[in-house]
Amino acid sequence: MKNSKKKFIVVSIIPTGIQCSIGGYIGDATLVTNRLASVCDYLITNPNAVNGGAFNFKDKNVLYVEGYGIDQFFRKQIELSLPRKNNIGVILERLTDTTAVNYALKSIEAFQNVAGINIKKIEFIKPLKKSIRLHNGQFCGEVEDITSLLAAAEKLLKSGQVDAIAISTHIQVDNKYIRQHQKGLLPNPYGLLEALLSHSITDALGVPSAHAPILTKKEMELFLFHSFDSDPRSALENISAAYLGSVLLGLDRAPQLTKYGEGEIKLEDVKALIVPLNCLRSIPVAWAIKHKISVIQVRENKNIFKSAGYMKKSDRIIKVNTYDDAIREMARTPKFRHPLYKHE
Amino acid sequence: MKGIKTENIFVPCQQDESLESIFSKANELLIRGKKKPLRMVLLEIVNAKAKLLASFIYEK
Repeated sequence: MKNSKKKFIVVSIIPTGIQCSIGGYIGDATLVTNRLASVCDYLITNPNAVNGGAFNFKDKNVLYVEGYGIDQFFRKQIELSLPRKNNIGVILERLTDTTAVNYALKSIEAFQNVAGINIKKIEFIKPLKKSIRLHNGQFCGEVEDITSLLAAAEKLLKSGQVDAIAISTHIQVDNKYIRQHQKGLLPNPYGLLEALLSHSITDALGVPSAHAPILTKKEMELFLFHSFDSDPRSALENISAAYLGSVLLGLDRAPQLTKYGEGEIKLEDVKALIVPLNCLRSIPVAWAIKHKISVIQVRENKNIFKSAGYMKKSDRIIKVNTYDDAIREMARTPKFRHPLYKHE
Repeated sequence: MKGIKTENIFVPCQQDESLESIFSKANELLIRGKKKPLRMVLLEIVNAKAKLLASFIYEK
């Protein structure tokens, strides 16, 4: 199958910041993502599903695509290249907390020397003015001026040595929000602002990008030494002093975004879009239905959306109980069946 | 100067309007307001208005 022209591709999206029971913490959707990937040639997913602090345990055929890139893919504005090794440029905020910056730099050294990640250049920028606010149970964000971020990204790309961009900045979050998130009472407070930063790079420059928060020394103490009562799903937070690692491992072989018609990964080869329960009101779902791609929502992945809203019943939308059921559903339906998958 | 933010926007719509059409209207509305749309999620439809959570780039 891998050598044939037609590929068996599935997209699984686990949005950030909506308190998903699987994927609402850092990296805790990796297991289901890899299980889905085991029956596909390629599984496309968003960074939130597999970023796990200093770690990223996604399988090789999991394609790490920034959320805005996934939207554009479903809108047929772009296609994706097959994964190959990328050269990564890193944008770091020059914080006054040198411990925080040194940890980020040590991550870069570690992943260059141990994991063989090609990190070609680092650009420092002044800390961006950012704010988050809690609105109706969901965090919203704002960055006052992204000019320096875009200029740094452009400089990295113009060097000719870089084709993917990792961003690492400090996001100030009230400790009480972090505590409530760690106990499963609030969505991840960082997610939406992180997504804003990576969307703006991918939109402006058309390259793979992802964001990792830099933790200050005080925040490291909170996460590493004073959070042992947190939900087990957020345990990677408790053993990660720098989050850049997961992004570097994700971008290492992230597919490049190509012009529509020029990529090897095409929307026509997508057999299904898998989303958490009631996550049916996004751009990928709208365009999946338009392009007659089946949408599978998974009941076990509950989140802040308590209903599917106004969505009318459609034979394109299937509801299953678990991610394993989603795999069975793909095997049961002839049009989904992968030749390598043996139906139980 | 360019900023980025996420906020709620409201778009007039029919109760049974397709998602694709609602997103297209929201896109147009943002572009008319000189905001570059990035991502959107439809939150609800109440009284012939769709409420969306939209992320966009804006010029200052």
